[in-house]
Amino acid sequence: MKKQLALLMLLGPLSMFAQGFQIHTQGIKQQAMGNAGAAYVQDAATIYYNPGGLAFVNDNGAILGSNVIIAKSAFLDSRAKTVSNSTGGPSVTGQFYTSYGFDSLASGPLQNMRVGLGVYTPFGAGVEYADDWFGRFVVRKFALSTLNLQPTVSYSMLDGKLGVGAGFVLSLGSMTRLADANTADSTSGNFMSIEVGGRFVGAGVNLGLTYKVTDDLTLGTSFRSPFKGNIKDGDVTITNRPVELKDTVPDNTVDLTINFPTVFSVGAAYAINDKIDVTLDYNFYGFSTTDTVKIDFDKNTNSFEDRVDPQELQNAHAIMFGAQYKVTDAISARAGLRYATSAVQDGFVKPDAADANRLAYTVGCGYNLNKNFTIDAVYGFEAVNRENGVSDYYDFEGDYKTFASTIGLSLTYKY
Amino acid sequence: MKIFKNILILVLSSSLFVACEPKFDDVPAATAGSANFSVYVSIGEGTPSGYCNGALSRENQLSSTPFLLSEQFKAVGGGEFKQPLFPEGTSFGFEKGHPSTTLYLRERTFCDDSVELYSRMFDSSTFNYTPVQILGLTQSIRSGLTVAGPYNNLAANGAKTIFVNRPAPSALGSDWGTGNSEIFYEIFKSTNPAATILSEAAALNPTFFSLQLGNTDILRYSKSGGNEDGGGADDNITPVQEFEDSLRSIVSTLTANGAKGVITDIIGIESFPYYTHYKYDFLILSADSAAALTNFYAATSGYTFKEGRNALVIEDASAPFGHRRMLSDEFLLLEVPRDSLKCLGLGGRIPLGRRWVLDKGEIDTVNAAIDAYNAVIKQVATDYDLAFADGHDGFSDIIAGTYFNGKEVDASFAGGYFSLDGLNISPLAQAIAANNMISAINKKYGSTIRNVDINKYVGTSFK
Repeated sequence: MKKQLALLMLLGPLSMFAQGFQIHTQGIKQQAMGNAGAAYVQDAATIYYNPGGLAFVNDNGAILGSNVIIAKSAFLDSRAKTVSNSTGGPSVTGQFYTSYGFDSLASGPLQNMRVGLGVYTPFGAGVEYADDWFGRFVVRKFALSTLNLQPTVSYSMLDGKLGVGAGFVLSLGSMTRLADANTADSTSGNFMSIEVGGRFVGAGVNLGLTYKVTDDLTLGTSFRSPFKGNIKDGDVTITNRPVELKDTVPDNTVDLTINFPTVFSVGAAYAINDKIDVTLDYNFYGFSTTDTVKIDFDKNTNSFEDRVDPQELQNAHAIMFGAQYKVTDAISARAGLRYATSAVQDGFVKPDAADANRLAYTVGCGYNLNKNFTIDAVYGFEAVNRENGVSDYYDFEGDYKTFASTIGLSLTYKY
Repeated sequence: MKIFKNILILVLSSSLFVACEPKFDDVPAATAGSANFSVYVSIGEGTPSGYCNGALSRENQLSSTPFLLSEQFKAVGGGEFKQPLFPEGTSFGFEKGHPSTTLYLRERTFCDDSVELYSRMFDSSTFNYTPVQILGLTQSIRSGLTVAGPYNNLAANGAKTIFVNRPAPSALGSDWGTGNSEIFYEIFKSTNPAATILSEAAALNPTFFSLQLGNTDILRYSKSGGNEDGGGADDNITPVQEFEDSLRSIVSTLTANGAKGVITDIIGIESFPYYTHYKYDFLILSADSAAALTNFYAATSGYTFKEGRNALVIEDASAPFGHRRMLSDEFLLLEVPRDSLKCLGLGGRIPLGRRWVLDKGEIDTVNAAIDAYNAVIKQVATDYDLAFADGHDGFSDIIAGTYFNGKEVDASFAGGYFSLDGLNISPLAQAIAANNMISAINKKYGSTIRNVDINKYVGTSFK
């Protein structure tokens, strides 16, 4: 009787995190322009996109925003040809940005400085299927959420042509993953299931440069450092455990690490005329090839073996394009496109990492209520199709389709 | 403001897309290819009959490989598939003249107060070897069957390949062996006394058949420690030529009217937890008892023992003192009497009888037979152009532990692949085996029969 009993691992190689877990809900205006924000400075949400741009934000104030993400997935397994639909409901994210400039100071070096704070959700994932769905032994439910707090300082130099910015990133997150094990109590017929989860804290930096080449052309680049989310004494929750397995599958806790990637952006923004601005970004998502995913159980049994798995994700790329049209002084219309390649390699596709190359469309608008208040709205849609996605490890394969829609609203206050 | 309203309406109305869900509209239907599945017949031994966890039960009949195949065949023109189903909640096994029921893994307290997960109903040393009245038993089970014949699943526990075309006399000591092999066919066979499994199969005029045979031709030898349990000639391995002759006659009868079929080979003996679960060094001693045992053997073989695990002492007539230490590459059988090992000095002061040990020579004999049978099966598949499902060559993956559809499975005791008798496979493994056969059928006949959803089937059962 070895590992089989709990089969734990559930956790499997924790390919924790696909580029698909990168969620694009930062800044309602930027979202509407395909999430291109490395060069185009709109408002304090540039704290996320490029801290160097913060120096060029003109107004003091704050932005409060929220997104609702509705993702529906369907899976067609390639062998029994059963179709399963995900059951998870919508998820809600929040964001807040504020900044203050010292340009009102009469003189001195601080005059060119602007400080800010960004609170946003850079990464997240949610997948849930019915309890008895076809892939129940791979995963029934997976949820990952992060909330980043980023105090930022930005400074303008070279006569206001160059903005340099740096932010410290504190990431608070949680992860939970539930799957069934191949052991059933013969009285109830229920499969044992094991849920692993916990909270983590990570830290990193967000650095950026923004350069105004001319009045109409701006270039920008930013670097968001990789960080690790370390779960310490995470919960291992076992349900429907046959009493006979109380020693083999004991109550337990687990330490594990989630690797978040480097994100490197470059972009250009151009004002075609007084009314139309366009912007183009390139993003690189880098996974260190030397990274591993470690899983360390408090109590080791045949079912709870410590393991070190290689990081399975590959580097990914994204191109974003956005445009904004000033309909009137008070009204702006925006639209964008975003194309991203998948971080999930062939052979490592599973229901909680069913990423694929995909194209997203975004539209949005903004309205200045008065001198101080602006509201903005966005809608985004993307379809993710991974045909014949195979997990060699789990011997699990099929076609994945996901439709993800996002609605967002924000209120901006400036003075 | 009006323009803003319009834009806002556009944004919000586009969010109606939210309601749309991804769908798969173009899933192709399963197809039969060049085979005809309308009348499907299964011939085989214990596993294809649904024998599992030491007994036959309705629950496991409904997860037998042939039944699972028949369910998948329904999408490509397959007809009714009748099995001699037991009543709900009943099970029936037969070991050494002793009726038994389904085994479950449960905690058991042994003579030395140690507690282990253990599946056997009773310790083998307490077996009552007096055969019960079989005729009465089979009659009562037969009358309780919930489906009337003729049956499409003619697989019967205990069916050697050479028995498939022999009538089963309703008496002890028959061709079919001493006292228990024939009873599973007795339970459901036709009332015609001359009927054989093969004649019943042919009478259905099948268009498709499956053959899962060969293990039982070897099993009675290996399971009795190399025919060391008084089974006589019935516990010998079927000679390869007889095996081949029987198999060829079965296939030639079934294909006479153009039926197509699938045939499986047999897996290696090292696959079964019945032989691998316990190890040669299963003599577990305290420091005191190790010293005492060393002292005990000082005057004869001079064997020494240490605290912890020690190689067992087994009988060996050719050894100087009539005993020797068990070797690491010899198999200790799953049914070895545990209480006697733990408390009565069996395998220590009392050399363990060879009925519980498959020694090196016996293992070689068994492996040679398996290789020869598999060569025959492959050749017959080629000669008669049948789909061939290879179980043997790919089995090392399962021994090492692997995943099927996210389910982790290995070949250890309670590892999910084998049932708790250590010899017959679990419902989960029946589904895995059925999918292996479906792959072979699809490949051979160009069909696109769908796989069984293995998630519905259990590996290891607890009570």
